Amino acid sequence: MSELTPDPLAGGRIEPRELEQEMRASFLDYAMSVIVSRALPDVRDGLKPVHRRVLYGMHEAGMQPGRPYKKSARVVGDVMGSYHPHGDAAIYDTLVRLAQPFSMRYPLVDGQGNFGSLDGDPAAAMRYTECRLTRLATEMLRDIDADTVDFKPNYDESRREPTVLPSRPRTCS
Amino acid sequence: MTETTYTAKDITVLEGLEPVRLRPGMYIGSTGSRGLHHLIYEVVDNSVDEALAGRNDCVEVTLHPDNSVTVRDYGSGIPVDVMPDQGLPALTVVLTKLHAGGKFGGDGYKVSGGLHGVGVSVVNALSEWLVAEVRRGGKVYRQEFARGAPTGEMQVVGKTDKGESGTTIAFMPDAEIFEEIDFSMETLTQRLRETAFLTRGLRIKLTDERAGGEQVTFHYEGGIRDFVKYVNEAKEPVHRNIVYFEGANDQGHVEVAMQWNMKYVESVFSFANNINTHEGGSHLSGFKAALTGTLNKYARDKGLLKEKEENLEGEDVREGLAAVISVKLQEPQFEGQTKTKLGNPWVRGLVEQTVNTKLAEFLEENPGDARQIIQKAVSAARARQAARKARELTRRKGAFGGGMAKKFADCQIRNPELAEVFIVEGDSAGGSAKQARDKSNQAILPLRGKIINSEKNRINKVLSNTEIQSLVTVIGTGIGDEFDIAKLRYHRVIVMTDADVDGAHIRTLILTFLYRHMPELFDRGHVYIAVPPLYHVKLGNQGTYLVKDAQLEELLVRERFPDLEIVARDAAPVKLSESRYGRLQRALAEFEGWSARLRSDFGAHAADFVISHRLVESDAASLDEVAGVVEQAQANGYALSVLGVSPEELEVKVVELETSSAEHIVVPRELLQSPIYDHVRRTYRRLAEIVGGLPPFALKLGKKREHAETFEALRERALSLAKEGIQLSRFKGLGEMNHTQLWETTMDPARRMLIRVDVEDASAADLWFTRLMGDQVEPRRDFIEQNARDVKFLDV
Repeated sequence: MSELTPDPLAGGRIEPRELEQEMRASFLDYAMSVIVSRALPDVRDGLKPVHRRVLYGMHEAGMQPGRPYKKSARVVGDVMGSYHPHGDAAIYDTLVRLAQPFSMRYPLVDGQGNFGSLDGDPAAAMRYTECRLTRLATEMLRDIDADTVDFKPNYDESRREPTVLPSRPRTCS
Repeated sequence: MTETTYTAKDITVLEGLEPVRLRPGMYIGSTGSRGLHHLIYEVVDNSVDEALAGRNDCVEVTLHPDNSVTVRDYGSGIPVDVMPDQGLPALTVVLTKLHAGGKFGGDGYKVSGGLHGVGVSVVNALSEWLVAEVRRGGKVYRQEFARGAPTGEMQVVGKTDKGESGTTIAFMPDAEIFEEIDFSMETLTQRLRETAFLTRGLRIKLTDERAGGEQVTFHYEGGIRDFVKYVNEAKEPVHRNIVYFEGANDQGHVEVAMQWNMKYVESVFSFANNINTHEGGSHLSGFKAALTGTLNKYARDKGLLKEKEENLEGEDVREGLAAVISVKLQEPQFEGQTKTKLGNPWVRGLVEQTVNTKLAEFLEENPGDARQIIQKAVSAARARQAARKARELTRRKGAFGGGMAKKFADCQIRNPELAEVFIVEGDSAGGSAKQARDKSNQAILPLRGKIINSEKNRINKVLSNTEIQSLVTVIGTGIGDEFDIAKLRYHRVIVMTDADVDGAHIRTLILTFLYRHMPELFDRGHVYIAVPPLYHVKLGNQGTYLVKDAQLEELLVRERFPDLEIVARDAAPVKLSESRYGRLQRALAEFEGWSARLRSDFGAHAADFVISHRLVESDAASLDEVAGVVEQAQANGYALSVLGVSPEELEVKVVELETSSAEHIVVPRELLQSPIYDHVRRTYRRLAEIVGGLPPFALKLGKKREHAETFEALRERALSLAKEGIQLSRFKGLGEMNHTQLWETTMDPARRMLIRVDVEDASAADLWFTRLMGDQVEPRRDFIEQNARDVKFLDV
C-alpha cells in the first residue's frame, strides 16, 4: 500500500440516482417482464412459457405415452438447465398441475405416483414421482420438427425453443 | 528536501463564469441527469419569483427535439437598461456574472426561491448556446451567447405591444459538460406540478415536442389545497373537508393544508419559499408539536379519549396524514446536510401558534370530520401499542439468540463510518458474498425471497416478519419515532440483488421498507445499490466485465468497428470511427424526435412515406417538384407512381414488389412547407455528413455481410455484425459468479460501482411509492400502460 492510512472505502465509482427514478425503472422492468413472459398464456396454445417449456422439454427427452415413465426430477432438471433459468419448485409445481385430472380437463402429463389431491394434499417430492406425456400432449406437439412454428434462442443461446406449440389436434385438421 | 516550486504563478484566479464550467457540480449538484434538470428549474424559478411578486401569471416550458429548451414567461422581463457601475445592460450582466440578480437586497423581490441565488448565469455557462429575448416597453431585445460568453451585443430586434412583456430564454445544454442531455418529461412534470401547487394561480405549460407535441398544463387556483387533494388522489380520505388555513406576522407568512387518508404512512411536505425542505426544520417541528397538542386537547375535551387512556403520540396523529406546510419569509436560513432544513427559529412560533388556533377552530366547526380524525388516530395508537409488543418480542428474542439473525455475518470493525453492510438476495448469493467479502469492514445479511411489502401492510404485521426484524436489528437505528441515526451501525447500507427482474423487484421491496420506516437514511446518503455486472465479454484473450448495455456498445465500437467495411450509395466507402459513431447516435435521436413530431402532425402514413422513400434528400418544396422526385425515385423494393397532383396535395401509389401489396398515400402541401419538415431534412443532411454517405449501405465484417436501408438500420446492423465472434455471457444471478469474480466486480471498494440513492423530492417519492407499491391497482396499471415502451430490459 502506498498511502499511509488507506481508507477502506476509497476508490470505485459512486453514481447518485433519485429514489423515485430507481423505483420506477426497477418496478417497470419487473412488472412488464411478469406480464409479457410469465403470467399470461398465449392465446394460440393456451400455455404460459413455463408450461410450454415443460412440454417441449419432455418431448425432447422422448417421454412419449408408450414409453416407460421417467423421474420427474429429470424433467425438472432438463427444463431448468435448458430453457427455464428459475427455481426448481416453480417448474415442478407446473408439471404437477399439468398431471392433475382435477386441475386440467385434459391432463397433458401422465403422472405415476402421488400427484396431490383435491383436498389440497401436495404431490410427493419430485424425486419420488414419475411422468410422461399424455396422448393429447403429443397432439399439441405434433409436427413441431416440421418447421410449423417459430423457434427462438434459449436464455444462453445454446439451444432453441418454440415460441408457441403447433397445437393442431387431428380432429380439427 | 526537494526545492519547492510553489510560487505566485501557480495561483489562478478564475474569472467570470470559468469556475462554473470547471466545477459544474458545485453549482448545480451534478453533471448527471439531476444537474441537467436543474438548468430548467433555475430558469423557471426566476419566472416563479416574478409570479410571487405578482408580476407574472404564466410560464411556458418547451422541450425541442434537439434537446434544447425554451422557457417563456409573461413577467415584466429582465431589465435591459445599462447598469452604471458595470457599463453593460442589466440583461448581459445577469447572464454573464455570478450572483447577479434582483434578489440580493433592494425592492425587486420580497421572497425568492431559486438555487440559493446562483442565477441564470450558471445556465448560460453550461449551455452550448443560449438566446435571451426580453419584451419590455414596446420593444423586443435579444442577445445570444455561446458557453457563457456573449456572441454579440444586445440588440433591439423588433417591436411589440406596449402592454406585452416577458422573458424568453432558449438554451441548449452543453454535451461537453453533461453526461446525458436527455430531459425526462416525467421528472419535469413532477417538479413543475409541485411548483404550480405552491404558486397559487400560476399557469405552467409544459410541451414536449420530442414526443409529438404532448402538452400538459398546471394551474391550481386552490394552491396547496389542490396539492393535498392530489397526494390523496389514489387514497381513500378519512374525512371530507380539506383543512386549510394561513397565518402571518410582519416577518413572514405560513399556509397549511391537510387531510387524513386511510393509509398508514404519513406524507407531510414542508416548503420554505417554494424550496422543498425535506430535512424539515423549524416550520415542520412547530407544525408537529401543535398538531399533537391540539388533537389531544380536543379528544380529551370531547371525551373521545377516555381518562385512563394514554395520550395520542405524534406518530399516531400523523398516521395517514397528507399535509403541506408552505412558509414564505424574507431571509430564509438553510442548514443541514443538503441545505434543505429551515433554520430560522422564529418560524416555529408562527407556525405553532397558527396551527393551534386555526386547527382548533376547524375541529369545533366540523365536528363530523373531527370525530373521524380522532378515531383514525386512536386506532393508530392501538396498532402502535401492538407493534411495540411485537418489537419487544424481537428484542427479547434477541437477548436469547445472541442479537442477530443466524445467517448474518458481521464485520470486525466497530466504527460505523468505515463499515458497510450488504443486504443480499437469497442464501445462495449470501454464501458467495460471505466468501468474497473483506471481513474487516463488510458485513453480509442474506434475506430470503421476496420480503413483505410494507406499503400494503400495517406496521405490526410488517414488524412480525422475520426478514424485516433481522434487517432492523442489523441496521441498528430503530424505526419511526424511535429512529436514532447515532445508532446506525453501518454508514453504507448496500442493497445487492441479482441483475435480473426478480432482483429488481426485491430491490423495490427493500427500498420501500427503508423509505417508509427509516427515511433519514436516504437524506444522509447512507443507502446504496450494488451494481453487479451484466455481461462478461471475451475478446481474444482479454476478458472484461460490463455493467451497462451502453458499455457493451462502446466496446464493440472501439474494438470491432475498425475492421468494419461499409459502402454507401454510389459505392462510396465509409468509415465509422468512435467519434463519428457518438455523433451519429445523437443525430439519430434528434432525427427520430423530429420524425415523431412530423408523424403526429401529419399522420404516420404521409410522414413515413416522405422519410422512408428518401424524399427528404431532395430540396423540392412544391408538390410538383416532389412529384417529379417521386417519378425518378430509385426503387428499393417498392414501385412508386404519382396518381395525381393538386395544389393542396399529392397522391402516390406505393407497391411493395415482394408482396405486391399496394397503398395509397396522400402528402399534404402543409407537410412539405412545415418547419418540422425542414428540421427533418436538415437533420437528415447532418446524418449524411457525419456518416459521409447516403443509404443504402452494404456492410461487411470478416465473412459476414449485411445491408441497411436507413441510417438507423446502419447503426443496428453494424452493432449486430460487431457482436459476431465475440464471447458474451450474461450474468443473471449473483450465485452464478465465483466469489473471486463477485469480489472483483461488485464488492471491492476500489473497483466496484455503487449507486447512491437520493431523495430530492420527497413528495414525488411518496407518490411513487403509493402508486407502485400500494393497494390500488388502477394507478399502477396506468403507469405500466403509459411507460411500457420505456422498459430497460425484459426477461423472456
